[in-house]
Amino acid sequence: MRRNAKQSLFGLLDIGNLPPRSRLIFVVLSTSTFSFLTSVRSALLVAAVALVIFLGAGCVRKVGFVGIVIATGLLYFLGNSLFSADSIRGIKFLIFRISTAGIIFGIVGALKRMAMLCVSLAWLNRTPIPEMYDSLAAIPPLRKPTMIFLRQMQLLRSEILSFRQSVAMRDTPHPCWDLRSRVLRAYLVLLGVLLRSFEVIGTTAFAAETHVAAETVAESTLEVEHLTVQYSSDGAEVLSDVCLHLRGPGLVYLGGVSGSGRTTLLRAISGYVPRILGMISTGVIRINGADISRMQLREIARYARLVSSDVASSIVGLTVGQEIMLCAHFLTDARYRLRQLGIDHLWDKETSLLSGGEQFRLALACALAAGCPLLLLDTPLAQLDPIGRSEFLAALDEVIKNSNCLVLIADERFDLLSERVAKCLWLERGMLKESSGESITTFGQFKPVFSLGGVQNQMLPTAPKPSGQLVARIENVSVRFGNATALSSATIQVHRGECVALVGMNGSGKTTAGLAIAGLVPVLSGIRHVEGRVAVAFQNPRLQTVERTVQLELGVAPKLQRWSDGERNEFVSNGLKRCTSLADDNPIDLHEQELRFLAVEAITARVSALVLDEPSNCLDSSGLEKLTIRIEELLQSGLGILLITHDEELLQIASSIVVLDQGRVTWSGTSSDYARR
Amino acid sequence: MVNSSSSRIESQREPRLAYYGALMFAVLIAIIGSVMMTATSSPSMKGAALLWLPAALQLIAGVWFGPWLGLLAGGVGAYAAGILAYGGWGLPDIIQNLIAGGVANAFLPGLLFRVFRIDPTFGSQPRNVASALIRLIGILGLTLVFAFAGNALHWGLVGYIPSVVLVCISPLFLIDLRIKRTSLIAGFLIVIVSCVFSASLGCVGSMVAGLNLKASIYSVGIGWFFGDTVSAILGLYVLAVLTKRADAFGLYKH
Repeated sequence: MRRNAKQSLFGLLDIGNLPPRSRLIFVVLSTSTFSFLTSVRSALLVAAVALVIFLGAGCVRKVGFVGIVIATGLLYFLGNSLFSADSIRGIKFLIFRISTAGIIFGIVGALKRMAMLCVSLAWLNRTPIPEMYDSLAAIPPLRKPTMIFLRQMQLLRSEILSFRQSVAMRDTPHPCWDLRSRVLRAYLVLLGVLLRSFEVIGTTAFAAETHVAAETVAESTLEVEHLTVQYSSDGAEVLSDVCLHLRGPGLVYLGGVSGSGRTTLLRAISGYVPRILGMISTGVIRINGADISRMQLREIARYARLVSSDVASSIVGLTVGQEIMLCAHFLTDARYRLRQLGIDHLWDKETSLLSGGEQFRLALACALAAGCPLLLLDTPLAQLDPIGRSEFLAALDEVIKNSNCLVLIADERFDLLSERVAKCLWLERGMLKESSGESITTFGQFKPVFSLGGVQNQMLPTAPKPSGQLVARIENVSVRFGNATALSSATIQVHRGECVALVGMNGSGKTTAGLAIAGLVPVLSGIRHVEGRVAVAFQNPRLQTVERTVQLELGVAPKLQRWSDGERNEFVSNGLKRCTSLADDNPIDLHEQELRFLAVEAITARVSALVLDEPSNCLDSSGLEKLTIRIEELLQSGLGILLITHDEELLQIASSIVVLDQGRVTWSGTSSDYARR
Repeated sequence: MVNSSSSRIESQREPRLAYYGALMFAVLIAIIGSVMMTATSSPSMKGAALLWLPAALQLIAGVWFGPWLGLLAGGVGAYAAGILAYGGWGLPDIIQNLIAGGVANAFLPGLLFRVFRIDPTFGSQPRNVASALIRLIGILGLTLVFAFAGNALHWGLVGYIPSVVLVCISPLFLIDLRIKRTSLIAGFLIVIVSCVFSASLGCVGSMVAGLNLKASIYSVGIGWFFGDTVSAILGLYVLAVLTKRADAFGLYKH
């Protein structure tokens, strides 16, 4: 009863009761005034008021906030008391001089700085990022830079977290006083962030400039004449003399093996090449008759819209609603497209809190809502769960049927698209081959049906039986991010030599479960038991690589674990044989497939279990074959594997399957039981 | 040849790319800066960080994106860092973070690199630049030791002669390295000038917050200068390592 009364009293004084803009004005004015206080009484008064505001905002529950306030007060008091320059008449103590004036200055300074910090932290605690935007973006020209600044803030914080996880999972535990290990970890995280920032600047600039509603046009045509593209002036040609003429409406399939230039062709048509990256050596691209080389990105985006596979850095809105309204003509249209992709209930959710699959659904909904006459989709199906794929394909059918939209799609899942395709294109080493009909089976390297289902008899290993020794287990584990429950009383276990598959819808908590098993996220409750070390191959391998070259990246784990030079060289050369021959290339510049294998190889140093998060994303048939063989090798070497996947076909590798739904384990059993289910 | 191909690439790039780069750097500076302000704060002036790693990023932003966008990245980033670290919204924080971070640490080096046409790659491999910078820091340290010694021994102006000689012959210490010595030494001097200016602004900010001149120099200014200089020299090395890559991405405005 008394506690409730206290809570309601502090609730009345909660800074969060003010509207966002008034809250900001209050914080700026009060903290600015505090810095000019000179007497102990006034400083005490404002410190007391600030403390009430701090408590009212619920900051006391945050240990970090309380620690910063106390440390600031102590540091400021001691600093000014001991280093006071007005200490001619003070007491000499070692190298210090202590005087009354210095102590008073220290008390006033400490109180006012603590007061400033309390008010500011209360504001930070009670103001979610979208509200910060509302309060900061008072002047219309500042709205977009403010939004991008805050979005980058969200993104960078999550990227720093990913890089920290990436380094931590490759290291062995060290005592807290081991400075060398701490400095090395910090250096690797900083390097990863810095190297990644080049890419993020490009994708952010592209996304920010292309988030526009499209022009309505009577027809959509695409002409590509003798297009040759390089990524550097002295680099190889990625596309060579590509010619292409397409007319909408309809779905055009762009096929090819990994590294054949599909992504580059889509990037060139959207303007990403050369506006952001690479260069066009020769050739012209015309959309609806207009040469795009003379257009700014913003103009190109009115006619062509690209959805790329690195979706997180392509989002600029702070909430789902804000993101889609940057592209949609009308609110009803935006709502409708979100409903089609099954994420209309997430309208107010912060984009940084979406799962990888939900982010991709949002990007696709935005592309559809923009109403572009030319849609360019780069591996859209790989990151969606089976229901998401059906929903997206149904929405795509409707767009093609009801508008003049021309859709150019590059995806490995031709089996899901074959019935819809009007025309097929095939890229081979940067050169385009074209078929007149809808079949692409005539092209040499193409396997008719991409999926393990089509080739299972030749290549699939039989699901191995677990040897019985438990290597990783979480029991009744719950994980929360802010107010959202990501995992709720989940129990998952992996045995030596066993492959356990973890399946579920986008946003069901699969990635969180994988991170929890590896000990990379703090758990709210439950038990984690691991024999040895567990590492995770991230869903987005770009957030895992921290070093400048492939060779150095493979050497990160041995370096952190302080292996001998001989052991390290052997590990690196074995890794190189399995992922790529480009030892001195920057990992970020690798093809998606090579990068994915690098991400797996780089974490296999002395682990007892691996978590592979959507490892088949963006792999072509040969890549998938290589992956399954590698998984088999790892299992035979005695590792346990937790395989997070949407690919039903890949489940055949697993001996047992766990189904997650909204953070809860809803089913678990053997793969044969799952198939019967 | 290299210049013509890089200008060809630059002509194909989105003109607003550098603007987004500056925003990204502002965010980096804000996040790293807030940690530095908390972990390495001056004991007598909260917010005056005695080791300011973002000085490296501010220098890079000024050199790559140009003085004005550098000002945006360096100033806004540092100001946001102050808000996150200690609720620094007021006038002293505007002087110490927004103005010192933006004008002194980013705008000024950006401007001077362009005025003196300094090649930020220093025409060399990163390992040569690292070696050269270590030697230059050593020379700077020795110069200061000689100057203090001369002063302590009351030799008057004669006491400064060893320091002056050492500075004059400093290029000789770099003679075996394949490097644009003039560019690197000029870059080194620009760092020192901008850090002196930045530390002076730091002192002004702390005087506005209530410290007197002597206290602000001893407890804020000196630490500020050395903390910024160490970090900005690290920035020179990063420039040598990453400028070519930034150029390929269209982020380096020639």
